[in-house]
Amino acid sequence: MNETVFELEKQLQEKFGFPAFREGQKEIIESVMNGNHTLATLPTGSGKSICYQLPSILLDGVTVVVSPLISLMIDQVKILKSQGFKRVAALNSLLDKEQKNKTLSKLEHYDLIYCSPEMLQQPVVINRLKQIKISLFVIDEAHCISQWGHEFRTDYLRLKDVIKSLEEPTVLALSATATPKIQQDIIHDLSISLNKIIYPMDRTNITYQVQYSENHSEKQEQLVNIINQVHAPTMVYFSSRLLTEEVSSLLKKKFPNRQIAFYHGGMEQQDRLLIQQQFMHGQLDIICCTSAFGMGVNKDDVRLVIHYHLPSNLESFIQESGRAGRDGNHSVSVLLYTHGDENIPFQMIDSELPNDIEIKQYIDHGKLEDEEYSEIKLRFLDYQLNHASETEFNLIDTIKQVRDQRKKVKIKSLMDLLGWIKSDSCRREGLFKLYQPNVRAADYDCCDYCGFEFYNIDLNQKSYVVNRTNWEGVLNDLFNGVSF
Amino acid sequence: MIQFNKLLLYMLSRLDKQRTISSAFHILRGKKSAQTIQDIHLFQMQHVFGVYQNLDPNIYHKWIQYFKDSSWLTIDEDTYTLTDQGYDVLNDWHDFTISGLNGFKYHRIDRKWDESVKLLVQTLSNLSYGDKYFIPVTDDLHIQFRVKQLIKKYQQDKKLLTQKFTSELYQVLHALSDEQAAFISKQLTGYNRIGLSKVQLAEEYDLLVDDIHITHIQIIHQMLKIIESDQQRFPILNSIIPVQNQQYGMTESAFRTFQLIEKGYTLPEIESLRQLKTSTIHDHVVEIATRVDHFDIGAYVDQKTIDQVGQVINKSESRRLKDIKLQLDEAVTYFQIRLVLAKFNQIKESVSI
Repeated sequence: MNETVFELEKQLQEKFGFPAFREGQKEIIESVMNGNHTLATLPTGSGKSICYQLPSILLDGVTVVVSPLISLMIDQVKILKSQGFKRVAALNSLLDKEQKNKTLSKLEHYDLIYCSPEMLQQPVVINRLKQIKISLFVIDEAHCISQWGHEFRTDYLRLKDVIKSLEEPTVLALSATATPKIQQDIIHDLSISLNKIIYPMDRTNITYQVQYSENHSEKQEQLVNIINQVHAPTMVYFSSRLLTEEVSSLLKKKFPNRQIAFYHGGMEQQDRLLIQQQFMHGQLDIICCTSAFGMGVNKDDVRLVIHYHLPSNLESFIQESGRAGRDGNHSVSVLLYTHGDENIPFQMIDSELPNDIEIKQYIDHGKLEDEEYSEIKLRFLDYQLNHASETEFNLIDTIKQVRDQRKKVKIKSLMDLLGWIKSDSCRREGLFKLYQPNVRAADYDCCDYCGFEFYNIDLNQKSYVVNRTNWEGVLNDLFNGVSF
Repeated sequence: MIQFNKLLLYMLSRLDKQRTISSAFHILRGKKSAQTIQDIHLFQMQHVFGVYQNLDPNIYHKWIQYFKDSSWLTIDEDTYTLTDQGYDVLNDWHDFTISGLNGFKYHRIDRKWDESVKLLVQTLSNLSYGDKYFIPVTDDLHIQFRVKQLIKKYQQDKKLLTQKFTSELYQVLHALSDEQAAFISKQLTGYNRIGLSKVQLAEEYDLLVDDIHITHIQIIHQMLKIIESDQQRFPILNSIIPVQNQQYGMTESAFRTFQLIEKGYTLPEIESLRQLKTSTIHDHVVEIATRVDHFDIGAYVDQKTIDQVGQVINKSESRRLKDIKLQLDEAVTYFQIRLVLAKFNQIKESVSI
């Protein structure tokens, strides 16, 4: 046993360049390497992906990872490739037919294949997977399987059958936001017995703060004050693209000596890539972004995460604020709240699910008029229709009921977040008590309720300024002084 | 630096009273329709064809709205008119130049070549600092593959490749103005230094993103011209120019129609064979006539009609099909007029260039 442990650590150093495992990683890896079906929870930002990436290299055969978000999948593959891992691929709906066939034809040559859940419903994909040796089947974001989870994905419910048709390879279900109730759902819905490895979700190096304001100009003032006190890698989350741009330009005026940029899903692909890379390479101090930023962003030393708007639920807040301090050093999460901020996420919940007219439209015509969120709506409707029994008399009413139940879950999650904001007790306790019996003490300051004040912290860590003044100098820097 | 509003007003002045307000949009985006292709030859706008291929229609309409609000133009039923004020503004911009833009020639390769150069810079920069691993600045797998191939060719001596490449890059930048060279260099990504995005460049130069885009394309066209004219001095930069397929630069679909015509099929036969509308096949034929010098339009228009149409075109100031048709025999079709115009422009072009 000691020898294999030593081996794992050596492999981690060799393949990923990390000197040691973080909490939980080794135990999970050992469990799956020994062929045990495993359900594991690790706090967000603690390196969940190592738990299957390392085994994928060490095990014979292919590791399949089911991942709900295509953009996350693509980022992961990109990052792995940039670290020198070549035998990794992604199967998702963005591939054209030629790319997909090419990937499918050489499936056994990969160590690691990311796959969207809907791809696993395609007979060609399943049949191909049946022909190869699958050593590990990973369900990332496993909480998506639970109807009580904020991100319930109907196609995750079909994974049970997929696992069966692949003759039950070792399964690893991973999540960073699974309450005990959701853990039960995962075990129940997969109907296999899972070895539970549950690590506490709380992040002891993050200090939490909520700041109230009367209106938007006061909120802006608070933001400026915070930025003024912390000169370190900072993310500011917004729920609107326009505001990322507006506040970014406001901050630039106030702080001409800092490197500030914005990022949102409406930007050109090349610009997005550059901004993301600048932030990762420490060439930006502050990034004003929507939730589109940050998936797969491997930056260890983010010191400050500010929420200018409310995320849509408590889990998203934990996840986004968890982008701070992956290196374990002191970091701060601030949520800025003005009365009425909850209107935007409430509207989102309303517009994400099909309304009565749309349900009828879909059942009568099999499609929806083109509009926003139609993909999420279609996925929902499609599943409901396929899973209704033939004798269903009142299909429309049944679907309405399911929708209303989803809505209720989402509204509750948002209400939980609001309750947390307005609560008069320890922030850390409030955030994590749903997940674990005992919330651990903070390594540094705890939260505003427990007496944290901004002015007595020192997180300073400035960006690296790239010299771009004269083009000949730029060329010289780029090519390490090669003469031209 | 080219300012987009100047470029757009200049384009609109060329098409003044002749075309709809969207025509300039299609030209900027490089639309491969017979109408647009014909227009650029007719109005001598080949150089701006396809220079803004991802121009957002909403942004375009905001510009048009701005011109309207400034009383530089008025929109009529099926065309628009530049006002005196509009022309005054245009004349005031005497420093405005778009020389260097060559959209018709480069629109298929300019952005891909630029991405290839940037990826090569990033790769060789990282290699020269001993770093093999980085996230590529382009997601285009094709470009990644070609750059990898090139580097493999120099497997034994990557340092030599770096030296040759940097020397080429230095020379081509040196052939530009210092301002232009700086504009390009700020965008380059390498070891531990990430290039600026378009938005960041716009902030730095206090310009709009649209201006940055057009200026960038203009410089890329100039660079392409420089390296193409001296292939021996710039072998590496030339080798990463994307290969164009030999279809006379026409659309896939028009090329297939062309192949069938060459095999002797009649237009109605091609129509039923390809399950396309008559109007689509006619569009193809006009496109073919525009692109292929030796294509004979005699099968579709008799010589007498060709002469008649030619006379009207020579006399008339208007290039609107409707105006031309009104001056002709009723039996002459729009299709025939367009074919004659296509050939007419080819001749004019070969004289003027």
